[in-house]
Amino acid sequence: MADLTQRYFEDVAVGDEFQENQQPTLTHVVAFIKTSGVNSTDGRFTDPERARAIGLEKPIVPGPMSASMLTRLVTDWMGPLGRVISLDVSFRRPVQHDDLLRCVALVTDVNGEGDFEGTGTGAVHLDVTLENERGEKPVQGTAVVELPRRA
Amino acid sequence: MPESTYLDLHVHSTDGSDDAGGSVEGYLKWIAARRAHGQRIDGFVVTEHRRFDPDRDYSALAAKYDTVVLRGVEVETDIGHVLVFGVTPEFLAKFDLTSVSLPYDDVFRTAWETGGIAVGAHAGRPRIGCVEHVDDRGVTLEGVRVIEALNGGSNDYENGRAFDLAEARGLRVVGASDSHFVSALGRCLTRFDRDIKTMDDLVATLRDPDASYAPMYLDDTNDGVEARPRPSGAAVTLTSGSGQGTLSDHEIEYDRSVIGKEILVGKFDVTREMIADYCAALDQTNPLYTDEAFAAAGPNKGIVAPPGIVQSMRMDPPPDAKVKFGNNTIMAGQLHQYYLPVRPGDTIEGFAQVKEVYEKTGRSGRMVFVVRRTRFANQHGEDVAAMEQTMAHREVQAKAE
Repeated sequence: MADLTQRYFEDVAVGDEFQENQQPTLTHVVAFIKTSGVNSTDGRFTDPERARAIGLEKPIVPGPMSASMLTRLVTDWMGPLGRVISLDVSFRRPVQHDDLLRCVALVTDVNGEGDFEGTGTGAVHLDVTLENERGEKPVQGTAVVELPRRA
Repeated sequence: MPESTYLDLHVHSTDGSDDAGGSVEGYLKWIAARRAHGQRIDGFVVTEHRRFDPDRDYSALAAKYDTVVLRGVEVETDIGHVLVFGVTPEFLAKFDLTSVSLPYDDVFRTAWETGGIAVGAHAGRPRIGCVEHVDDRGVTLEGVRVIEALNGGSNDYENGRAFDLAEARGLRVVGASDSHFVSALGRCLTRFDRDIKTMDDLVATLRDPDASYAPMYLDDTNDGVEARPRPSGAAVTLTSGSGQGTLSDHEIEYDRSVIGKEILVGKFDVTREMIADYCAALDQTNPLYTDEAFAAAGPNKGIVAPPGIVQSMRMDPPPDAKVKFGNNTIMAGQLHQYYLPVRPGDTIEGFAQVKEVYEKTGRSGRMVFVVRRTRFANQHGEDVAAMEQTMAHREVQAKAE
């Protein structure tokens, strides 16, 4: 169950870090493809042999699924009154099936100047990263969320 | 005891690199936070990909944060990417920086002759670092004096290969983060045993064969921390996790008439079942998305969809730029922008366009990028989200068993 503790703007500082671990398996990938319609005709997401035929070592996790893992990390952290404004990710290396992934977010800026979109909330900028057990960061990006201020 | 300066020599920003997410001021705030934790970063060099704006000025920001901010450029050559420090009008006049295959020997020679210096970037990386070109093609590294052996975006194996090359060829080495995102800044950097405040200081130091400087990790700048040994290219069995392709000389052909033209690509009815399936696939257990009673008492007064759900809405294909390049396409990036909640019962229409087409080189060699933007609007005509997907077309070879 997600932690639904509300995060408030005043309680967040540059350098704060939070993380979750994920290990996407073939079962997870198949389920994601089924619900999302994200698929490939060349078998890269599910078929080891066909993945090798296009230069991959193993089947890989669809990019939108990796992005969704990072979105989930952020939404779990921010609490019910938080709102994701944007997520911007680059896929720099393949995420392979069964990779042991550390989904990490780091607070890089807290914008306390004025209300975000006039709602009384504050904007928090995050760097978001998927790290694998090989020390690589195959997916990197940024997210902006708005958090409520304490009354 | 000479002054020492800790500089990150390779940083990309949103001011000039399409794949960067960090702003220059964001980097400066991050440095302030790192200093508060006892780490040492005195400054950095903004080295955008294939772009150098002579008029850009960071001096006010640099002064505000008491940090050195200098500017160079990262260009792309036939032996990989190259950092150029001390960029002069003469250098800019000679080269088309947007090219992805500048002749490396000309770049290194011209940089030197015009008073600057070129440095081989992320030297150990496949395709875009010089090591592989030396190993595979016998490149002589004419005019190369310094390489970036410790790169924050490379793995230990790749960095180890770069150190091995430097030792074998008698090259000087530097370290840099190659950061595209704020929190990566300074992950690797260079300690100079002299005071460096300006680009002239930096260039003079890198050109001086007797100057003392060395790559290091940010974590090792804390007082009392022993510096880690440099990575080894032999001790690590790790191989690149990505499928590598071959460079191609094909001209890029695509349909320019579709750029910027938005078309309706479909309509999608959002259901509770769809939201539940999406959550199940991602082990998403947040009751705002899954628990009717809990969500009814929450800020949205009912269940809403997780933000990323718009990407799972099946619609017609977006306009096709008909790029004629490579034999394989991969997703290189996604930008999601969320404006309003998506609820069960909503009808979402998608409007898609090809935003741009461009090329550059990466680990997979030459690549052509197609950026497609889709805007999602609900039945009230309100935009609820937008998404950009960047697809990279490239040439790959089958992986051996």
